[in-house]
Formats: sequence, C-alpha cells, structure tokens
Amino acid sequence: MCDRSNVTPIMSGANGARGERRGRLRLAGWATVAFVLVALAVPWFLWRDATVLAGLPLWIWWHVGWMALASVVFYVFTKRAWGIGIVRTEAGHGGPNEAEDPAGAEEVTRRG
Amino acid sequence: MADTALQLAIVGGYMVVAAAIGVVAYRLTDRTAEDYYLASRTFGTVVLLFTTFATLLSAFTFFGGPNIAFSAGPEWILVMGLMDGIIFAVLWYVLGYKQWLVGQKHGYVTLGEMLGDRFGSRWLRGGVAAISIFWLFPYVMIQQQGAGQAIVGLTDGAVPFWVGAGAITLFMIVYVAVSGMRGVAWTDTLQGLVMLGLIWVAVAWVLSAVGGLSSATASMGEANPEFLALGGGLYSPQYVISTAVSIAFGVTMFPQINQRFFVARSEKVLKRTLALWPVLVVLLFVPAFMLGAWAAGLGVTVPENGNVIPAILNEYTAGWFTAAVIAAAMAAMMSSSDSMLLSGASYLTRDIYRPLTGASATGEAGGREAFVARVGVVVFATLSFVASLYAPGTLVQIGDTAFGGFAQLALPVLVALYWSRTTRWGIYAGLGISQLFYLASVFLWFVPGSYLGGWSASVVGMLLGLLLTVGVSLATSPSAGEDSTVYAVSGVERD
Repeated sequence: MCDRSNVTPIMSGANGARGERRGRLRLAGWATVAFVLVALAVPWFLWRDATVLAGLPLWIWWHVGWMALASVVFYVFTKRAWGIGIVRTEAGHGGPNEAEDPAGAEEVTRRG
Repeated sequence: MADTALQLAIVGGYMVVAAAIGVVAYRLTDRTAEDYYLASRTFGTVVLLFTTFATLLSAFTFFGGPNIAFSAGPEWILVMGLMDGIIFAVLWYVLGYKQWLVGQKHGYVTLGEMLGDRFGSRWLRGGVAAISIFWLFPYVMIQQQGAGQAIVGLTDGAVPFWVGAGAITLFMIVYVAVSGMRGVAWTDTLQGLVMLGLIWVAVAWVLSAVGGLSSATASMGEANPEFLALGGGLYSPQYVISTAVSIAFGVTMFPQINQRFFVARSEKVLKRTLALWPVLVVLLFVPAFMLGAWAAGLGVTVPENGNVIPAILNEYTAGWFTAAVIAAAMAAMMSSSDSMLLSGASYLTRDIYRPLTGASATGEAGGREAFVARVGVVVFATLSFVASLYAPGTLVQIGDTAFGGFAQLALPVLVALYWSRTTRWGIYAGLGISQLFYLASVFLWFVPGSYLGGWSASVVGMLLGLLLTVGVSLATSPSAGEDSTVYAVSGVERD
C-alpha cells in the first residue's frame, strides 16, 4: 500500500516535467474515479428490475453497497491524494508531512 | 388530552435541553464577530459532520421525503444518496476544501466577501448576499410553517398555528442570538444523533409489529408492484439526475452550508467528514424513506395534508414515541432554520450593512457588528414568522424552488475559484443571467420549466451560467481592482 508518488522529491528540469505529467495523470485518474462513483450510485443496469433479495429490492442493496464503497474510496483519497488539483506545490499529492500519519497526530493542531 | 399533554411535554422537554446547550455555548463565546459566526474556526470532526448533516436535513427527511416514497415509491433513496452522499461529498472537496484554504488565508466569513475581494467589486459582494437572502428568506418561512403545522397536527388543533410557529421562532431567536455558531453547532450535533437513533428504533418497532423485513416488502410489492421495480412513474432518469445535480450544487451555495466550509479546525476534520458522508446518508435515508414506502403496503391511511411517518407510527408504535419522532422532525426544521438565520444575518451585516456604512470589523466596531448581527437575526426571524402566518403563494413558490436558485451560483463560483482568467464581467454575466433565466422559468408561464425530455430549468440554467462565465471572461479583460492571485493557495496553510 505504498504510493510511489509520495516519495516524489522536489522537482526541477526534466524531472519536473515528468513529475508534472504524472501529477496530471493522477488528477485525471481521481477525476475518473469520482465520475464513476457518481455514475453508478444509481444502478442504471437494473432499471425496471424488480428482483427482491433478503427483504429489499436488489437495486437498494446495490446502492447501499455502492455508498459503503464510496466511503472507502473517499477515505483512501484523503490518505493518498488529498490536495490534488487544489494545492499547487508538490505536484498535487498530499505532501510529505501529510502522508500516512497514524491517529496519534489527530487534531492536535489548532490555528488562532 | 392526557396524550396531548404528554406529547407536548416531550416536544417542550426537548427544546429545554437544546436551550441549555445554547446557554453553555454562550458562556464560551467571545464577543468577536468571527467567534459568533464561525466559532473561531475550531470545529472538530463529529461536530462539523453533524452540524452540516443536521443543517442539510429539513422537514424533508421525516415528512416530505417519506411522503413521496409513500405515493411514488422508494427511489428517492437513490436520489438522496447520489445527491448528498456522492455529488455533495465530491463538492465538499472541490469547493469546500478550496474555500477552506482561501478562507484561512484571507479570513473570509461569507461567500460574498470571498468573491467581492477577488473581483474588487462591492456590487458583486452585495449582489451575492442579496441573491442568497432572496432565496433564503422564504425557505426559512417554510420551515417555520412546517413546525407550526406539526404542532397543530400533534395536538389536533388544541394549540393554534400561530402559537406553535411563534413559540418555535422565539425559541430559535433566543438561542441563535445568544449563542451564535457554537451553540447552533452543538444543538445540531444533538439533533443529528437523536434523528439517527429514533429513525432506526422506528424501523425496528414497525418491522417487528408487521412480521419482519421480508413481509413488509412483500406486502408493499403486492399493493404496488411498481414500488419494487427501479424507475417508472415520477422517476425518469432525467428526473433523478436533474434533481440530484441541482440540489447537490444548490446545497453548497446555501449560506448556512457554504459558511461551514470556512469553519473546520483543520484539514483532518474536513478529510474525516468526507469519508463518513456516504455512510451517514444511507443510515438516515434508507430507513426513513422505506418506512414511507412500506406504509403503502400496510394500508396506512394518511389524513389529507398530513404526513405518512406520524401516521404509520401511530398505527404500529406508542403515542409517546410518535411524539418523540415529531420532536426530532421539528428539531430538524429548527436546526435548518437556526443555521440559516445565523448565516442570513451574517450576509446581511457583513456584505450589505458593513459596505454601506463603511464600518470595519475590528475593535469597538467589531463588538458593534456582533450586536448588529444579533439584531439582524431577530429582524430576519420575526419577518419570516410574520410571512409564515400569511404564507403568500409567491413566497411559497420561491421557497420551494430555493435549491435551484442557489444551484445557479455554484458553477460560476467554481470557475472563479479555479480559473484565474475569470473576469469581473464574466462572473457578473454568469451569476446574473443564470439567475434571471431561472427566475423566469419559475414565474413566467411562457418560459418552460423542463427541456429536452425532462431536464429541469435549474440544470439548464446552471449550464448557461457556466458557459456565460467562461465565454464572457474570454471576451473581456480584467478590470482595475481585480486580483487573480487571491485564490491561489499552496500547502502552507495546512494544519
């Protein structure tokens, strides 16, 4: 579970161009993930289907499962790619001091 | 009558608890405007999550939504999940996190402030505030109306409408005016937990009374086979997508939600909130809307202008429990309204009053502004209460279409946040013309409300706003006073 781009050093020259391209690819990748999450929250392939499974229509089960999956994906996103597309430096990834810190560091910081 | 007294006692007791929380929050509140509106930007995960969640929920969770499920089938679960669980969560990051960073950097408290500063325009600042208040006011009015009607329904008319709506208004004024954002957020947390807990108890209770999940769903399918099949009737793909997209974007521009983008303590809080979002939406809306849908198969009769949830609970659970759920529903309305009041007042004072009077927000003037904000809350709430007594058709219509109105703001704001080529004229055109188009579709009979086989005017207006913002920005050059670097953020601001 180690994201290679988390070890990307500060870039310059040819390295920088490559890093930038990779940053863009990652951004496009996450944008695709977001699109798929949106697109299949409603199981369009079950349209007009009335199968009942374990007391609820199948399409409700799909939705419940999909939302659970979305939560997991969002969680992974916050761990691995937070800041992408928004924070300019570090080619978009979460940043070195941000990565995979265990719960210990939580909310100890406070501004103002 | 004894039953009525008990039910009123439950509703009343609930409000006393909420008031006590408000008072505790008051003791912790500074006199500064930033603390009043934003609790000094110090919300933790649980409080931020629930306060946003409780604010999102209005009467729709317990009344409107289940009523639709009762009459048209449970597909609204999907609309809600797509809308609040996924699209809103994505926007939570794309809009919310960006706004949080920009807000941290420049100390913004309102959307109008953020835009006005970037485009060097007081007109923009005041205009965004005015548009927001235009849509917000009737929406608050509808919440007060709903609460008044809920009390009338609960007491079989023993307590008249104006007393119910008035008591709730007074109650909200007291704790909003006294405790500010902190009190509002704390009571929202209480209300969110109560709603979540009660709805599951309700489902368990009803299902055990009717012989379990399978039998409830089976009788629903026998009574109305359409309810089991996905889609059909009201639910066309265009309806599902239009509704979810328009409301999700609209929600982000509702003042009370948008302002919450400025209040998180740290990035950690925003992150954790994001991951919990879809699960929470499922936990709340699947049981609430299924109760409405099951009721259709159980032969529950709903009184005219009544609501299905109280009806099914009356049939299968105890009277005190129905009262508790109604108290929770009223709490949902209040948690929407109190936050709206607070945000509406801050838009009014910061974006309209302050620029007009030239007052600044520091020192002496800051204290006075906090006072003006409290006065703003009182005035706003009183006016909307008076309006709720008459509930003129026009206002009801504005309130019903408020989500669409707010949705028109979202895309131009998004473009401005991310695209430094956006110009003042671009954002003027994007915001102004999409508003005019949407208003025309709501009020003018010759402007259609749906396009190309069922896409709503709201979604069409959003697209129009997007095209105009980009197109006009490309065709014009930046005016004096614009600063395109304002929204550039680096990682430095992270917690």
